[in-house]
Amino acid sequence: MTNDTKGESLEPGNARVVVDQDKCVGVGKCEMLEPEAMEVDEDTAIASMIEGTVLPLERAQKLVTECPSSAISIGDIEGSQTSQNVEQQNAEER
Amino acid sequence: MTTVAFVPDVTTSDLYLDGIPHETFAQMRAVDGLVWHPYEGGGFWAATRHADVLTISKDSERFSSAIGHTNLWDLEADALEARRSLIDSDAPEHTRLRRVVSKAFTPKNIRAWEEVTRNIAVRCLDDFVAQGGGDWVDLVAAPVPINVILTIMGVPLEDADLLVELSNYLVEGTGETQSLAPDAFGNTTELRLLPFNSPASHALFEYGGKIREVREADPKEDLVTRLIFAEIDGERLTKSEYQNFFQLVVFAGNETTRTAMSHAAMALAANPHQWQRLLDDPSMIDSAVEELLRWASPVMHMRRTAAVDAEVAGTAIAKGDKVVMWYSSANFDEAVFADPQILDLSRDPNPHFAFGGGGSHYCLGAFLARMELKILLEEMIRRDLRLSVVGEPVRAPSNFVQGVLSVDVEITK
Ligand code: HEM
Ligand code: SF4
Repeated sequence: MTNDTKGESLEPGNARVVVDQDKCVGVGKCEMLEPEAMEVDEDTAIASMIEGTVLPLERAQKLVTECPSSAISIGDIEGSQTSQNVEQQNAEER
Repeated sequence: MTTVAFVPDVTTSDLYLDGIPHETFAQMRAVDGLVWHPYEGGGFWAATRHADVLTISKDSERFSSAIGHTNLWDLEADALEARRSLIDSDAPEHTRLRRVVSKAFTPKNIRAWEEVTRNIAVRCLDDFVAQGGGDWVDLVAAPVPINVILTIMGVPLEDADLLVELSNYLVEGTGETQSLAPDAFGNTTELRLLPFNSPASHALFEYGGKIREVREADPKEDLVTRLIFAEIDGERLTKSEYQNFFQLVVFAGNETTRTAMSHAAMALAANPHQWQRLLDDPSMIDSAVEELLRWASPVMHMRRTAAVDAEVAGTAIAKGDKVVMWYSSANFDEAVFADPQILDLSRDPNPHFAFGGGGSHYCLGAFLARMELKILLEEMIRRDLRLSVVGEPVRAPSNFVQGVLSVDVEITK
């Protein structure tokens, strides 16, 4: 799965994903694919990544493409910087 | 820009008697922009390419579910209001309603019903095998989903037959004939105000209301109880929201899954080589479920209405125009699926739209439906069940659901 050009420039490593609360529809395709890492909360019916877990970047990217609501994006990548982080840093430096 | 030299009519029900009219949809996909499709009572823009369906589906701000109707024809304003439920509302009402009911459908809550689902599937398959085959719809594809949904909702078993009957009448309401008298089940509401214009909807409202009272007094570990007591920001479903939702689930959780299970048997019988692959390597089961869903495309379209002037694929859409997303075409779009006409149980990725094109209205029951299909396949694998279809399946004359009324299936081993 290398359909994500943003991901290609990054070093492969472990990643965390973030879920956009407003977009998540809570049906749990992510939990189905990665039951150890993703969980739909009982009270809010919104998914999130289980505290302390990471996924190989490729599997994290699979979640991004499989989420039917485009609610998932790549957060932090171990040993690397996400474009988001870089943007933030740039913004802070300015 | 290619203009349409022909006006294909993909709304006549008879067109679907041999399955999805793939040729016609392929011609429509080849046209630049969206295709204007005439329709009695107001034409619509037909979106047939995967990319265009995706754009429309994910943009619920510009493409509304609450205006007009989510089916091809418009409803009068009072009927729309009376019948309104999750599927035909927009944010912020939709968001609120969806949050409340989603809680009952989280993977954890659904997984709790895995064993119950398996027992039902086992019972039906054992019956089918004991009889040496027969009508797959009647013996397996229809009873499994309805019994699962009724059990997890917590409908007392002695009422199951009544609810099966009522939901079958609703299914009938998606076709062109109605066998019920307007005052059936003591109905006094004008039919146009009822979902599917069916007096069976009235009976389901009444029934839903009755079981709500019972569970309010005596809560159980079931879906009805969860729906009654589910709260988001201190808010619960109102009585009429609950009744509309009860009715929606009894329909949506039933007919669609039945269709998927019918097509699954037909597809596996027609492709014994693919079935053998799965028997040899059951670890393929998740992708097999997805491919069978793509193949079945049980819901063939949903409609939206432009809330503002918009543009899709270079086509200007005026505020108020109907836009119809043809999942039955997008799921076979050669731009996205290699060899779309070939059943490939290991296809991955498989971004099919069986549960809609994604976004806020994405099928609430998708996790449950996937679990039911997976369990059915697991039990078929366990039995090393090899099937072949005898004669021609009888299909529902509908442009909306790819329904199968009956299919005679033989056990070949
Ligand atoms: C194979 C089986 C199924 C298929 C193919 C299917 C398909 C669909 C489709 C195409 C939609 C419309 C999505 C949209 O407008 O974007 C939908 C919505 C819905 N489905 Fe399903 N469905 C299935 C099973 C179920 C089950 C088992 C349930 C409930 C128990 C269910 C409940 C619903 C509900 C409540 C909605 C409305 C969601 C909303 O508007 O927010 N479905 N389904
Ligand atoms: S797959 Fe996407 S929409 Fe579904 S629960 Fe996970 S994050 Fe939410």
